[in-house]
Amino acid sequence: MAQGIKDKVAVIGVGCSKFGERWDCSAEDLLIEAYKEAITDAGVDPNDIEGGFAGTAFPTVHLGKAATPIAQILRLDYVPFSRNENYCGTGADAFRFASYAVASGAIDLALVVGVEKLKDVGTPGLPVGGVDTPPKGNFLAPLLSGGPGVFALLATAYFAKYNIDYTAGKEMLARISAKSHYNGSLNPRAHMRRAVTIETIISAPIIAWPLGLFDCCGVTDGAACAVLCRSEDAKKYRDDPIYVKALQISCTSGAPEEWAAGSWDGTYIETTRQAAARAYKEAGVKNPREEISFAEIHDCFSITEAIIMEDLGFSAQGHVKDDVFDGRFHHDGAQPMNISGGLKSFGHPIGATGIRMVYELVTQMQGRAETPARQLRNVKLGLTHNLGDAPSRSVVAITILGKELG
Amino acid sequence: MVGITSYSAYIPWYRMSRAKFGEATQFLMVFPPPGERAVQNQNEDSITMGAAAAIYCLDGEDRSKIEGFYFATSTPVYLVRQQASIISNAIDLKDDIRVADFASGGKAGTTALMNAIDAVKAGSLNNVMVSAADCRVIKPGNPQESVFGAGAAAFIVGKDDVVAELEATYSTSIDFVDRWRAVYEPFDHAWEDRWIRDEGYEKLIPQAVNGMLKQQNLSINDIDKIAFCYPNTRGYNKLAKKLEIDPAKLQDCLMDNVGDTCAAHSLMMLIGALEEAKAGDRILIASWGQGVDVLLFRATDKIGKIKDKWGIKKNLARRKDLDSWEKFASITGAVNFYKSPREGEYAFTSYSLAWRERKEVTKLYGHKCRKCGTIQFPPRHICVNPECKAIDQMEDIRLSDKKGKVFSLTNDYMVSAGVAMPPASSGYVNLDSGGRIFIQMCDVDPAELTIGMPVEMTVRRKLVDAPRGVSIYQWVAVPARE
Repeated sequence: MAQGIKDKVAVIGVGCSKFGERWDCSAEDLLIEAYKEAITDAGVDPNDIEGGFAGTAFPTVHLGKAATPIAQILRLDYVPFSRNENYCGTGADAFRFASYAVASGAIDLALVVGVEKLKDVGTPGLPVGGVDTPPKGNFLAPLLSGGPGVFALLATAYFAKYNIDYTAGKEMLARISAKSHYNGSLNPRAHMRRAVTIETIISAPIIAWPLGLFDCCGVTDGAACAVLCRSEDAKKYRDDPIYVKALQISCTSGAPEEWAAGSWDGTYIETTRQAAARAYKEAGVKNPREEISFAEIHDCFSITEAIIMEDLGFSAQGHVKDDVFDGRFHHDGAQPMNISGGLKSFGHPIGATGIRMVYELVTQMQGRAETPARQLRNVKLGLTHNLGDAPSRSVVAITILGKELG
Repeated sequence: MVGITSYSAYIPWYRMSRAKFGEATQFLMVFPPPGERAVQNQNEDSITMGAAAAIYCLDGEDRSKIEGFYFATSTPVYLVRQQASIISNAIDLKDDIRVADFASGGKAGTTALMNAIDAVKAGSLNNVMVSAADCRVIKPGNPQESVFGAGAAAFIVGKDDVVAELEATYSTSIDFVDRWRAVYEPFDHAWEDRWIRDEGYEKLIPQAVNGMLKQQNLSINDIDKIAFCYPNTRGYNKLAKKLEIDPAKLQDCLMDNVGDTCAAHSLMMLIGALEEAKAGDRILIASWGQGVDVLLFRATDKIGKIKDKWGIKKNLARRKDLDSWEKFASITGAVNFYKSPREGEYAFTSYSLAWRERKEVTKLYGHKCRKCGTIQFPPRHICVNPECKAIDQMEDIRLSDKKGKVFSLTNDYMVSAGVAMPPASSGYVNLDSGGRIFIQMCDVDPAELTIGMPVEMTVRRKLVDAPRGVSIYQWVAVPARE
């Protein structure tokens, strides 16, 4: 009988580079920026690190497909080091592997790194043909921009099902993006640091109808790190470790059902629901709307955030609009979402994202947000959520972290 | 009796008024004739239009009876790689079939049709399909730019249920050089239009038409419907008068509404005549291109049975105005416009992959589970139905002939490659037969693309992998014909 991961692993140090269009930095520079902060924060001797887990999703642009370039950059000589890739769940999956390694007792101290240098390809949007090459190569998939097109399909389906007209739908989405931009404006490490009005968001050029420019997240360079040990050892390193409560991944196998045969109505993402159900069970969460204090969730597009709110059980199915208009997810609302600025404003370097979400949860729960304006109060249980590839054939990773054992 | 048993035309939905060409190119002293021309959409070429006409022509027909497929065009996509095979495979004709490409100008279409009928007459084949399509592109600003059109015509010829019997043919071969294009050139050349008119059409058309009449011992008054190629309506009417053709018997020359479709042109006019023909009508068609082919058909008493086919009239009624010369130049490739910063970003084209997956990618086959009956796409080993998940219990099912309804959609302005006029529309289509396909959508105004819209499948070019010399075709959804 599986026991689950709850309370077995602690995060004892985190680091995160400044996110942005880091024209002056290589992947190596970003990695070192996050790594220095993490090992200082954890107070560990790098020579004590017994295993490294790296997540990168577009390695061909910078680092290659093995773990060795990262081990060489960090000078972690002869330490077991692995690299993984799982679409936008890449960083969270590296965190999961590292947690399982220390929880098993195979090693005592693990390093997790995620890095992505996206801004070296000369085009806006994500590089094409990296992780997202369809199985039939050039021959069958529609011409799409990648992300915006496939997520726009959710918006049209959602608006149609719940009879939301274009104007009301655009405003709901704009409120989500405006919230994230405001949060980003408070965060010195965020990529986009400008608050944007709802009117500006609604009137921005369309990228993939009905999604406009401000409905889409940034394409960003960045890196993040975390240092993990078993919970019983955590207090040796610091007084306020943060504990792992749940680690779940859901890969689509029902997804072909969603897009090949036709029962899916396009208004929810089954992988999120499946991963969330398992994560809540693992963490002992009964009522996520009340118990999860705050979350960093995968707002690659504004519509994705709306749908995730319902799939995670934060909003009732079909009613996220009410919560968005009520300000429930604002920094001062009942359940703040993406206090970092989210993928929208903090940025989305694929392999780093899951780990920088852990960074945000840990620092918030430890009460050490960079500025008082963005410090949340009374946050005890936080959740990270990543969603990779198209909604209908996705991988979802959910991590729950808590301030206290038990 | 041997002749035509089924026909259909295809005209792309974009039309551009010649006045728009005039506005754009009057600084070059170009003053186009009246009317409009049909314009191939950004993902259309002679292969896709030839396929579209053939798909229409197969409506209600048993495709397994087709034993030959002839394709005619003056705008071949490949010099080495048979166009006719690309189309016959895509529309799922049999593999054991005789195919041929007919090329090199305006007579290619009539020559293909005559050869198909001869093959049936000779007893070599029972049913042969013929498709002709053209969409010539000329140098931007050339006066011919607005004269050229785009379109296709397809026929099935056979012995049973003949609607128009081929009674006689008369051909001339005369190397009169009015227009030409060498293999290494992208655009046609043209000699002076007054010389082409006076020494070409005005002499060679009457010579051939009269040659046919003399051979058959007929007078022009014995013909009930007549059409010959001529590059403008005014001259067409004048030459008809000179030939003493009763204006009531003269077919629309398609120059004011479609434009010159070269290898397909005379065959499209033939379809125009067949649409209106009564049993017993004699129909005379003359093509044009280094000589003339004259074909004399006689409509049978079966002519009424295929009136609901997609001929010229229905195609002309389905139209969309293209509102600028710049868009015309971009979508036809006349000008190599900037597309997107992602132009050229696409996966490596693997022919061994395409060959292995040909049923799926070329013919749009999905699977039907033998155990639970679920129709699914793309085809996979394990059944998609979560209650079933049977392994290797699949049978193939053709989805290219299924209709469906749009389930979810987007109009994408930041597309990756190959799009000359964003947005690219795509989404999920629920097939009426069951099954769901994630697919590109074409020939629909983004503002008019709605959930629930009925669609059908056709073949379009997905992208051109220029470094490898490959045009990649795929099945897309277009608004369903009513």
